[in-house]
Amino acid sequence: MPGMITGAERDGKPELTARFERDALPLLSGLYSAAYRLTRNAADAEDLVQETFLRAYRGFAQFKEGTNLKAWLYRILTNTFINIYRKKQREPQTISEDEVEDWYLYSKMVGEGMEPSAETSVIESLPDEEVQEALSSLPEQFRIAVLLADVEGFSYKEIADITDVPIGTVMSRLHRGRKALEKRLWDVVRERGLVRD
Amino acid sequence: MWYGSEDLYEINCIEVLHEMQLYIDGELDPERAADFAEHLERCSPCLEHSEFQRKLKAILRAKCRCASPEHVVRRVREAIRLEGRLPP
Repeated sequence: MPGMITGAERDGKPELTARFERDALPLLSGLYSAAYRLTRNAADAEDLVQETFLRAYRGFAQFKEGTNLKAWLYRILTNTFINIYRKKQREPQTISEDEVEDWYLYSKMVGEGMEPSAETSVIESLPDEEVQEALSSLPEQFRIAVLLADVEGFSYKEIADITDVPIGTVMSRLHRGRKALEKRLWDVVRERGLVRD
Repeated sequence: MWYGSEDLYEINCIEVLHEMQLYIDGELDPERAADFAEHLERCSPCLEHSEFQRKLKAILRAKCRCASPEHVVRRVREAIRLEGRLPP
Protein backbone atom coordinates (compact mmCIF):
# COMPACT_ATOMS: atom_id res chain seq x y z
CA MET A 1 0.00 0.00 0.00
CA PRO A 2 1.53 3.37 -0.93
CA GLY A 3 2.67 5.54 1.93
CA MET A 4 2.65 2.71 4.40
CA ILE A 5 5.86 2.08 6.28
CA THR A 6 6.68 -1.60 6.54
CA GLY A 7 8.38 -3.07 9.58
CA ALA A 8 11.47 -3.89 7.56
CA GLU A 9 11.87 -0.27 6.48
CA ARG A 10 11.25 1.07 9.95
CA ASP A 11 13.68 -1.25 11.74
CA GLY A 12 15.81 -2.14 8.81
CA LYS A 13 18.79 -1.12 6.80
CA PRO A 14 18.68 2.69 6.71
CA GLU A 15 18.87 2.91 10.49
CA LEU A 16 21.43 0.13 10.67
CA THR A 17 23.52 1.78 7.98
CA ALA A 18 23.38 5.15 9.74
CA ARG A 19 24.41 3.59 13.04
CA PHE A 20 27.20 1.65 11.33
CA GLU A 21 28.51 4.76 9.60
CA ARG A 22 28.34 6.74 12.83
CA ASP A 23 30.01 4.15 15.10
CA ALA A 24 32.20 1.93 12.94
CA LEU A 25 33.52 4.15 10.15
CA PRO A 26 35.47 6.50 12.46
CA LEU A 27 37.59 3.47 13.39
CA LEU A 28 38.62 2.92 9.78
CA SER A 29 41.90 4.78 10.03
CA GLY A 30 43.27 2.57 12.82
CA LEU A 31 42.10 -0.56 11.02
CA TYR A 32 43.75 0.51 7.78
CA SER A 33 47.00 1.09 9.62
CA ALA A 34 46.80 -2.38 11.19
CA ALA A 35 45.86 -3.89 7.82
CA TYR A 36 48.93 -2.31 6.28
CA ARG A 37 51.18 -3.83 8.96
CA LEU A 38 49.56 -7.22 8.39
CA THR A 39 49.53 -7.36 4.59
CA ARG A 40 52.68 -5.23 4.10
CA ASN A 41 51.35 -3.38 1.10
CA ALA A 42 48.81 -0.67 0.33
CA ALA A 43 46.74 -2.54 -2.27
CA ASP A 44 46.13 -5.58 -0.06
CA ALA A 45 45.55 -3.33 2.97
CA GLU A 46 42.78 -1.49 1.08
CA ASP A 47 41.14 -4.75 0.04
CA LEU A 48 41.44 -6.18 3.54
CA VAL A 49 39.88 -3.09 5.13
CA GLN A 50 37.00 -3.06 2.64
CA GLU A 51 36.33 -6.78 3.15
CA THR A 52 36.50 -6.30 6.94
CA PHE A 53 33.95 -3.48 6.86
CA LEU A 54 31.62 -5.35 4.53
CA ARG A 55 31.69 -8.41 6.77
CA ALA A 56 31.19 -6.20 9.82
CA TYR A 57 28.24 -4.43 8.16
CA ARG A 58 26.60 -7.73 7.24
CA GLY A 59 26.96 -8.94 10.83
CA PHE A 60 26.21 -5.60 12.46
CA ALA A 61 22.60 -6.50 13.33
CA GLN A 62 24.04 -9.20 15.60
CA PHE A 63 26.52 -6.84 17.23
CA LYS A 64 25.39 -5.94 20.76
CA GLU A 65 25.39 -2.18 21.11
CA GLY A 66 27.46 -0.96 24.05
CA THR A 67 29.97 -3.81 23.84
CA ASN A 68 33.49 -3.38 22.49
CA LEU A 69 33.02 -2.35 18.87
CA LYS A 70 36.71 -1.64 18.28
CA ALA A 71 37.75 -5.13 19.48
CA TRP A 72 34.91 -6.68 17.44
CA LEU A 73 36.16 -4.97 14.26
CA TYR A 74 39.78 -6.01 14.89
CA ARG A 75 38.60 -9.56 15.43
CA ILE A 76 36.96 -9.51 12.00
CA LEU A 77 40.09 -7.91 10.54
CA THR A 78 42.48 -10.53 11.91
CA ASN A 79 40.17 -13.43 10.99
CA THR A 80 39.73 -12.08 7.47
CA PHE A 81 43.46 -11.59 7.13
CA ILE A 82 44.22 -15.12 8.33
CA ASN A 83 41.56 -16.67 6.09
CA ILE A 84 42.29 -14.79 2.89
CA TYR A 85 45.80 -13.43 2.90
CA ARG A 86 47.74 -16.04 4.77
CA LYS A 87 47.25 -18.41 1.86
CA LYS A 88 49.03 -15.91 -0.37
CA GLN A 89 51.99 -15.38 1.89
CA ARG A 90 54.49 -18.07 2.53
CA GLU A 91 56.35 -17.30 5.69
CA PRO A 92 57.76 -19.13 8.70
CA GLN A 93 55.24 -19.40 11.52
CA THR A 94 57.68 -19.68 14.40
CA ILE A 95 60.69 -17.79 15.61
CA SER A 96 63.86 -19.30 16.87
CA GLU A 97 64.79 -17.46 20.00
CA ASP A 98 67.08 -19.80 21.86
CA GLU A 99 69.99 -17.44 21.61
CA VAL A 100 67.98 -14.28 22.23
CA GLU A 101 68.09 -13.15 25.85
CA ASP A 102 65.32 -11.28 27.64
CA TRP A 103 65.32 -7.49 27.29
CA TYR A 104 67.66 -7.94 24.37
CA LEU A 105 67.85 -4.39 23.08
CA TYR A 106 68.32 -2.78 26.47
CA SER A 107 71.03 -5.28 27.44
CA LYS A 108 72.88 -4.60 24.19
CA MET A 109 72.72 -0.85 24.65
CA VAL A 110 73.81 -1.01 28.25
CA GLY A 111 76.60 -3.28 27.05
CA GLU A 112 77.63 -0.55 24.62
CA GLY A 113 77.95 1.81 27.55
CA MET A 114 75.33 4.16 26.15
CA GLU A 115 73.78 6.93 28.21
CA PRO A 116 70.21 6.17 29.24
CA SER A 117 68.96 9.20 27.32
CA ALA A 118 70.80 8.10 24.15
CA GLU A 119 69.39 4.57 24.18
CA THR A 120 65.92 5.36 22.94
CA SER A 121 66.95 8.28 20.76
CA VAL A 122 68.90 5.84 18.58
CA ILE A 123 65.68 3.91 17.91
CA GLU A 124 63.75 7.13 17.54
CA SER A 125 66.21 8.31 14.89
CA LEU A 126 65.47 5.30 12.67
CA PRO A 127 63.25 6.00 9.67
CA ASP A 128 59.64 4.89 10.33
CA GLU A 129 59.92 2.37 7.47
CA GLU A 130 62.78 0.54 9.18
CA VAL A 131 60.77 0.08 12.37
CA GLN A 132 57.67 -0.93 10.38
CA GLU A 133 59.74 -3.43 8.44
CA ALA A 134 61.10 -4.90 11.68
CA LEU A 135 57.54 -5.40 12.95
CA SER A 136 56.42 -6.83 9.60
CA SER A 137 59.29 -9.32 9.65
CA LEU A 138 57.80 -11.13 12.66
CA PRO A 139 55.90 -14.34 11.96
CA GLU A 140 52.17 -13.75 11.79
CA GLN A 141 50.94 -14.70 15.26
CA PHE A 142 53.71 -12.71 16.96
CA ARG A 143 53.23 -9.77 14.62
CA ILE A 144 49.51 -9.70 15.40
CA ALA A 145 50.10 -9.84 19.18
CA VAL A 146 52.69 -7.05 19.18
CA LEU A 147 50.64 -4.95 16.78
CA LEU A 148 47.50 -5.22 18.91
CA ALA A 149 49.31 -4.54 22.20
CA ASP A 150 51.91 -1.95 21.30
CA VAL A 151 50.54 -0.15 18.27
CA GLU A 152 46.79 -0.43 18.85
CA GLY A 153 46.92 -0.40 22.65
CA PHE A 154 44.61 -3.33 23.38
CA SER A 155 44.64 -5.08 26.77
CA TYR A 156 45.68 -8.74 27.10
CA LYS A 157 42.03 -9.69 27.63
CA GLU A 158 40.97 -7.87 24.47
CA ILE A 159 43.78 -9.48 22.46
CA ALA A 160 42.75 -12.88 23.80
CA ASP A 161 39.18 -12.22 22.61
CA ILE A 162 40.29 -10.86 19.25
CA THR A 163 42.65 -13.73 18.46
CA ASP A 164 40.69 -16.50 20.22
CA VAL A 165 43.51 -17.76 22.43
CA PRO A 166 43.96 -17.83 26.24
CA ILE A 167 45.56 -14.82 27.95
CA GLY A 168 48.63 -16.93 28.78
CA THR A 169 49.18 -17.51 25.08
CA VAL A 170 48.84 -13.78 24.40
CA MET A 171 51.51 -13.04 27.01
CA SER A 172 53.86 -15.67 25.63
CA ARG A 173 53.43 -14.42 22.06
CA LEU A 174 54.06 -10.86 23.20
CA HIS A 175 57.15 -11.89 25.12
CA ARG A 176 58.63 -13.85 22.24
CA GLY A 177 57.48 -11.40 19.58
CA ARG A 178 59.02 -8.44 21.37
CA LYS A 179 62.30 -10.27 21.86
CA ALA A 180 62.47 -11.05 18.16
CA LEU A 181 61.53 -7.46 17.32
CA GLU A 182 64.24 -6.09 19.62
CA LYS A 183 66.77 -8.41 18.02
CA ARG A 184 65.74 -7.14 14.58
CA LEU A 185 65.93 -3.51 15.69
CA TRP A 186 69.38 -4.07 17.13
CA ASP A 187 70.52 -5.54 13.81
CA VAL A 188 69.16 -2.49 11.99
CA VAL A 189 70.86 -0.10 14.40
CA ARG A 190 74.14 -1.95 13.89
CA GLU A 191 73.81 -2.16 10.11
CA ARG A 192 73.28 1.58 9.99
CA GLY A 193 76.40 2.13 12.05
CA LEU A 194 74.50 3.88 14.85
CA VAL A 195 76.35 1.85 17.46
CA ARG A 196 79.80 0.38 17.53
CA ASP A 197 79.91 -3.26 16.50
CA MET B 1 70.07 -8.73 34.72
CA TRP B 2 70.57 -8.37 38.45
CA TYR B 3 70.99 -4.88 39.77
CA GLY B 4 71.93 -5.94 43.25
CA SER B 5 69.33 -4.21 45.37
CA GLU B 6 68.36 -5.90 48.59
CA ASP B 7 64.86 -6.96 49.56
CA LEU B 8 64.10 -3.61 51.16
CA TYR B 9 60.87 -2.97 49.36
CA GLU B 10 57.65 -4.81 48.68
CA ILE B 11 59.11 -5.85 45.35
CA ASN B 12 62.76 -6.58 44.56
CA CYS B 13 64.80 -6.12 41.37
CA ILE B 14 64.29 -9.68 40.17
CA GLU B 15 60.54 -9.39 40.57
CA VAL B 16 60.66 -6.06 38.77
CA LEU B 17 62.30 -7.74 35.79
CA HIS B 18 59.75 -10.55 35.88
CA GLU B 19 56.80 -8.17 35.96
CA MET B 20 58.20 -5.42 33.74
CA GLN B 21 56.13 -6.49 30.74
CA LEU B 22 52.93 -6.46 32.82
CA TYR B 23 53.78 -3.06 34.30
CA ILE B 24 54.58 -1.45 30.95
CA ASP B 25 51.38 -2.90 29.48
CA GLY B 26 49.29 -1.60 32.38
CA GLU B 27 48.27 -5.13 33.33
CA LEU B 28 49.44 -5.21 36.98
CA ASP B 29 46.70 -4.85 39.56
CA PRO B 30 46.71 -1.35 41.09
CA GLU B 31 48.28 -2.37 44.39
CA ARG B 32 51.14 -4.23 42.71
CA ALA B 33 51.62 -1.37 40.24
CA ALA B 34 51.97 1.02 43.20
CA ASP B 35 54.65 -1.23 44.75
CA PHE B 36 56.37 -1.38 41.41
CA ALA B 37 56.33 2.41 41.03
CA GLU B 38 57.66 2.81 44.55
CA HIS B 39 60.56 0.50 43.73
CA LEU B 40 61.34 2.54 40.63
CA GLU B 41 61.42 5.75 42.66
CA ARG B 42 64.22 4.34 44.78
CA CYS B 43 66.12 2.17 42.30
CA SER B 44 67.61 4.08 39.40
CA PRO B 45 68.83 1.06 37.36
CA CYS B 46 65.30 -0.40 37.35
CA LEU B 47 63.87 3.04 36.60
CA GLU B 48 66.19 3.48 33.61
CA HIS B 49 65.30 0.07 32.29
CA SER B 50 61.56 0.53 32.65
CA GLU B 51 61.77 3.98 31.06
CA PHE B 52 63.58 2.42 28.11
CA GLN B 53 60.86 -0.21 27.64
CA ARG B 54 58.09 2.39 28.06
CA LYS B 55 59.66 4.69 25.46
CA LEU B 56 60.32 1.78 23.09
CA LYS B 57 56.62 0.90 23.21
CA ALA B 58 55.69 4.53 22.54
CA ILE B 59 58.14 4.77 19.62
CA LEU B 60 56.70 1.62 18.08
CA ARG B 61 53.21 3.05 18.32
CA ALA B 62 54.24 6.39 16.85
CA LYS B 63 56.20 4.88 13.97
CA CYS B 64 53.84 2.07 12.98
CA ARG B 65 50.60 3.98 12.61
CA CYS B 66 49.67 5.51 9.30
CA ALA B 67 46.64 7.52 8.25
CA SER B 68 44.24 5.91 5.82
CA PRO B 69 44.21 7.63 2.44
CA GLU B 70 41.02 9.61 1.75
CA HIS B 71 40.08 7.37 -1.19
CA VAL B 72 39.99 4.30 1.08
CA VAL B 73 37.41 5.95 3.34
CA ARG B 74 35.33 6.85 0.26
CA ARG B 75 35.66 3.37 -1.22
CA VAL B 76 34.53 1.64 1.98
CA ARG B 77 31.63 4.06 2.49
CA GLU B 78 30.42 3.47 -1.06
CA ALA B 79 30.72 -0.31 -0.68
CA ILE B 80 28.60 -0.19 2.48
CA ARG B 81 25.93 2.03 0.91
CA LEU B 82 25.75 -0.29 -2.09
CA GLU B 83 25.46 -3.29 0.21
CA GLY B 84 22.73 -1.48 2.20
CA ARG B 85 20.60 -0.98 -0.91
CA LEU B 86 20.68 -4.65 -1.82
CA PRO B 87 17.51 -6.60 -1.07
CA PRO B 88 17.92 -8.81 2.00
